Amino acid sequence: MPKIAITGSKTNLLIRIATQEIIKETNYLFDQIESEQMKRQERGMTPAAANKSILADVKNNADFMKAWNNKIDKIAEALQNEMVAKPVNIYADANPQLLFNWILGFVKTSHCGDCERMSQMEARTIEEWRAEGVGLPREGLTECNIGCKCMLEEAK
Amino acid sequence: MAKHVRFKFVVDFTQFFKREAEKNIIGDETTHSPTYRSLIARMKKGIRMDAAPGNDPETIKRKGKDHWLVDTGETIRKMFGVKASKYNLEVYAKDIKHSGRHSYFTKKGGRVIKTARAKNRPTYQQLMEWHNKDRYSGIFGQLPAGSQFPKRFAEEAKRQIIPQISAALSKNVKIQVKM
Repeated sequence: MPKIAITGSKTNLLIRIATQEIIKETNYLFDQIESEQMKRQERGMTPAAANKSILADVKNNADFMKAWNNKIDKIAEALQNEMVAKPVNIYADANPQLLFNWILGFVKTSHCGDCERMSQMEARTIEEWRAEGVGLPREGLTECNIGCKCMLEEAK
Repeated sequence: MAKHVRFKFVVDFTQFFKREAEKNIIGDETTHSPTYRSLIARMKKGIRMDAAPGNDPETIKRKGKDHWLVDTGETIRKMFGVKASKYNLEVYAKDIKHSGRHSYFTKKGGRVIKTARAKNRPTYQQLMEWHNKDRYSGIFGQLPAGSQFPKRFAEEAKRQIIPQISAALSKNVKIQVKM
């Protein structure tokens, strides 16, 4: 596992990128609102009436407003994937085709027989690890039980 | 030729970031959901919900407990720094020295907190570099598993921007077509 940064710079960069994307999408939304104003005036509406009808669309989350809301939600989703840590088992279940290595954890004495044996096997999928009959690291089914400090790491 | 008038909007996440950092990212020791403080102080886990390492037997004997990084509680209380501005948020370990205070048990069994005048007291950053050992996810770098910060961030953006759209349209701001 890579050394964790403790200066906060990584999460700050992700936040700045997300903020810039939100600003970009909002600028595009305003461009769309301006286009709508012109279109509605060309159809014969007064500027005040055009603004009033666009305001109603904003409040009802119609068309361009819905698209903007969806884009903001997607930015948040991408930020969630990058910025929030995932428990290893959940990540592995969500990616059943990926291969993982059983990596021995930091212990004071020695590892149990199950973990030693697992760590010597080649990379496998999450289902293949479960099929070995000792569960996954830290689930409590290995000889070392809940004291297990091992982890699954995605094979490069 | 008519002049094209442009909408303008303003977003400022400073107060939102400060609130989030204090309450939901750093949090306090008793928070039920994983925050940096509660992960170290109560759950003994890293941000990926992996178990923290244990102390050496000599350290357990001295401290009277097996609790990675926690002794007098000074680090958890004083380590965290926050820098929040309009578009930036940093939550970090301060690069200032630990006081050196540590606890030990006397022969009679009483707990004493002693100030060490060690020459090379570590900074909180150095402590955390050591704390976030290989194969333990520790804290910092990412937000703890289950964090809802990104979702709340999006909601805050909408909360700030949508009223500005409504206000601009309600004022009947004129748009003139550039021919």
